[in-house]
Amino acid sequence: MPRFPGIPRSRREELILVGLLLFGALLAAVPRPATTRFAHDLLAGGNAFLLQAFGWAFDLGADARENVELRREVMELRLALSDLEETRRQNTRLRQLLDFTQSRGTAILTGAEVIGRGDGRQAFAVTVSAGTADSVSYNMPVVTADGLVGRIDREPGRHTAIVSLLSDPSNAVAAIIERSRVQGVFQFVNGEGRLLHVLQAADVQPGDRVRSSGLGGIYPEGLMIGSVVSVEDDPDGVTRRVVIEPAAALDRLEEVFILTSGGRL
Amino acid sequence: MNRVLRYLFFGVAAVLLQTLLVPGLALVGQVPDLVVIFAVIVGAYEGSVAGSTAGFLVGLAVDIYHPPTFGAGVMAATVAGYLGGKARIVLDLDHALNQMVVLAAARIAHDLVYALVGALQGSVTPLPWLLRGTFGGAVYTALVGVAALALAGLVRQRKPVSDRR
Repeated sequence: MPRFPGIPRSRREELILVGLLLFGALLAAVPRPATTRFAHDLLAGGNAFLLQAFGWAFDLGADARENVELRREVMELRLALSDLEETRRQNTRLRQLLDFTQSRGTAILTGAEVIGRGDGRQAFAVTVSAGTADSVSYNMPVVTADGLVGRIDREPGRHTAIVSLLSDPSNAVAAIIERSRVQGVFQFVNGEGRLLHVLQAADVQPGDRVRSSGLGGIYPEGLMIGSVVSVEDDPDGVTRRVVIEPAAALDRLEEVFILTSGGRL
Repeated sequence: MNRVLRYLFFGVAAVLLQTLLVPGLALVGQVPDLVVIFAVIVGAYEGSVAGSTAGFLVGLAVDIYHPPTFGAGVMAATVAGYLGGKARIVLDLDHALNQMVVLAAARIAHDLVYALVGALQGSVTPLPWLLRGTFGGAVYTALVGVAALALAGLVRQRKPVSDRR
């Protein structure tokens, strides 16, 4: 059954349009009732809520982006901090070396950096960044602020030299106990530093500091070698087994000094 | 019933987006009119009676949100929906160009009615208002509307009905 009997379909559409427009005109003409104001307030309130919700969602997105950015900055700052920490440690080391050079007597020290480990044949050597151009020559003692490191091994190159470390078993240093003036020869034996040729009657105690005596002809007198770790009588009944911990960190060398002049240290 | 609910959902979405989102989509001061687009789509799919009724309802919602021109939006959107329904008789709405023409014409008609009623209410100065936003807005509405029609086609899985005789 047709909804609008007697009215052609095309006319019906226009009729409805006119009706709606008239209704709209009526709405436009009459003062807004309280219900409309209430509806407006409701819609505006809903919109404000949605806007806040959208803003919150967008803020979350912005927070996430900011979070990623902050994480990246934290990583960069950590790297920078790590660099600074390394610089601080290097600074401390260099200051110690500077103090060391200023506290030396008439000896002339040439600074050098460790640029390589081993000499291609053995592990008891390092390569340093100083050579004949820096007046470095064979057998010159090499030290750090902590103590004796070794000596220049073989003829150096123009800008590099190989240092034979104290841990090289072929190195021997004439040494003396600082406190009791007991003398011996410092040398690495079976992987540990020893003060050899110390008689059982000699006054040697753990903690005693050991320095070079200057008798060997290579190392000048007074260079710190290390300290006594343990003292035991040898089975031969004549000598003592004195173990020495080297003062210089031979496995962690970074900067060294070469005694390029024979002054007194 | 499902169809009515679907139109109700999209009508509410159109009103909310028009009042919330569209002001932020302004290009060179021009904004699309989602209410016009919605009314035209309903008209294109369901005929001019449904189109003008849908336009009336969404126009009322927008007017409630913007009381100074209360009634103007109702009448303008009603006309837009009616045009959408009539357009399917004279144009093949399968083609995007025809869709754009209908959408732009509906937007212009909407703005003309709105400006006229608003002027009678004393809340709109018609000529500057029309010159400022109508023609650029018609192009913007046409572009957005074509995309919306394509989406509507995907949702309904059919093209707007053509009543061309």
